[in-house]
Amino acid sequence: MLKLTLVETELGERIKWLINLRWLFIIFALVTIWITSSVIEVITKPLPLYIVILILICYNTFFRYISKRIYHYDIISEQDESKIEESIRFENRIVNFQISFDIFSLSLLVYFSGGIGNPFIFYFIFHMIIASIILSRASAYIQASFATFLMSVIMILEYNNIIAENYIMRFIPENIFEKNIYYLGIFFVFTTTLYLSVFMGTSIVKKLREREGELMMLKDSLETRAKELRNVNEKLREADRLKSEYVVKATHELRSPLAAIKNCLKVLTSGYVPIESEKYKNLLQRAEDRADVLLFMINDLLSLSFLKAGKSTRFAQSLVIKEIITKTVSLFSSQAEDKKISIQYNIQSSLQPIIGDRENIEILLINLVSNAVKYTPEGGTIEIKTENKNSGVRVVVSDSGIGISEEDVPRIFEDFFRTKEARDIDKRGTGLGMSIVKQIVKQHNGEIKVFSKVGKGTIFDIVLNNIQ
Amino acid sequence: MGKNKKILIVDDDPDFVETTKIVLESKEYDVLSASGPEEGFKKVSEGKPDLIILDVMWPDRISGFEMCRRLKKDADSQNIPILMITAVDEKYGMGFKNVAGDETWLPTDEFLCKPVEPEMLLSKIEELLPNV
Repeated sequence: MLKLTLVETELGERIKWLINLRWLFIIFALVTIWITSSVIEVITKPLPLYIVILILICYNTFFRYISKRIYHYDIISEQDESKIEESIRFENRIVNFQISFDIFSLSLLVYFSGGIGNPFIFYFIFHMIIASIILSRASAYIQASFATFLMSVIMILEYNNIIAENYIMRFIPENIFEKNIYYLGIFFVFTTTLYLSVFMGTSIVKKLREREGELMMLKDSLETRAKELRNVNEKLREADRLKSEYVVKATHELRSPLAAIKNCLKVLTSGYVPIESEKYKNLLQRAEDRADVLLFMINDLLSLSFLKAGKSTRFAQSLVIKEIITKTVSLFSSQAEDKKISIQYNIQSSLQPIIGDRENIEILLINLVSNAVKYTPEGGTIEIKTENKNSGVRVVVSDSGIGISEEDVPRIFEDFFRTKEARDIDKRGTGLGMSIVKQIVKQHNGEIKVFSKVGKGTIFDIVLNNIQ
Repeated sequence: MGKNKKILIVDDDPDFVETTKIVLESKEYDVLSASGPEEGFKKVSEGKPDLIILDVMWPDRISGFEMCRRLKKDADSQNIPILMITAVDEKYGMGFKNVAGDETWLPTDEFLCKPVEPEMLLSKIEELLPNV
């Protein structure tokens, strides 16, 4: 992106300032010419001076018109970088030209009001200061050289009597002592004063411009920081909103079983059903079952919070996945037998061990196998396959169960989400099991894929890698 | 008190259905139940209940709200008073009560929060049921 310094961006403004300054000078010069020619009568021929002032007036009017065009450039160039550059070049040329013309006009005024002996010659210092402020250092020195050149031309021409000397009456005596030395002295002081003015002016301005540059950079970096902070703030706000939503959701999920327990107990304590009746026992059983759900849910929420916070890794150790699978399957063998479900697993002996969290891998497999047993109808099959995958292991658990609909598949890892079919089969689920599975896979730098078809079955394809 | 009056409970929580049923039957109301909106609509048209107790069924709350709106739009069911039940009270920021009060959005008649006290439930039902 094009970066403009403050000097460049304010160039247009400074041109206008220069034009206004020139109007002030014109008024001052007119008053001075009138006083010196009519009141104190030190100048005998004021006409050429008035002509020079007239030219200055015309020329300043012209530049006032041009400056309006510059302002116009500033507006249109806001989006277009090449236009900005073009505009800046144009403004620089205009300022250089104006100052050169001012120096030339002042030279004429000096010549017509007394020549090299005129003390007003030192008004050139003002031009040098203005040039130092507005122009580049090189341009300011060029303007100083231009002024010196013009003055030396006048001096040489006067000295050789090629042009007339316009003595200011009573101000500089005609028979000035040692005229040559006086001229040389004036010229020496004049030249050194100009160059020193430019040197000091540009030095000060250079420092100022450096500070301006630093300020601009500081401003830029502050703006970037502010933007970053705004983004972070936005993200935090979003995270906070999600957290609040989550709390409401979790509260609802915890409150539901608690409300059911309370309802059951209230009906019992209020004497709506006779003690010792079947209904009484049934309600007590319902309350107990819901208390179990509540307990499961609190435990699951706790594990999930630890997993999400990355605090769950107890002891990362070398794990033989085959052992864990065998143990998990044995946990569900009688349940599967009751439903006449066959669990097939053939674990390769070449399966490599991984560095992992034993307890969490067990939880992961228990979740997957228990879901498979729960949601597979009688007579179905469950299959567990494994293979080495780079430095980790791949575990695929497939079943011939009820399956998950296409729209529900992306949602199964959401906390508390349960498909309608799952709820119909088992009222006691927490909807947190798959979230826990996902977090455990994440803890093991792995990935999990789900393939499912309603009525056909579901495949969970998991890769587990070493915990770093 | 509840003689000949038929109440339909639409809630997917079987424990809530069971306890509510016991409370209502103790006051001799006839109780029908449905575990979701589909079954609910069927029971409304078949059983012609005098009052419906409807669970918001949050987080799939749209089903409960949607059912309520549809019941109030339908000429056959729009005069049946609806008592809505939710597990999350408005003091937790859900603002269900405000929503419930907005006729255009959710024209429900009364609103209760789980767990529902049996006495409270019965008195609300009495208020809502047209006097015989």
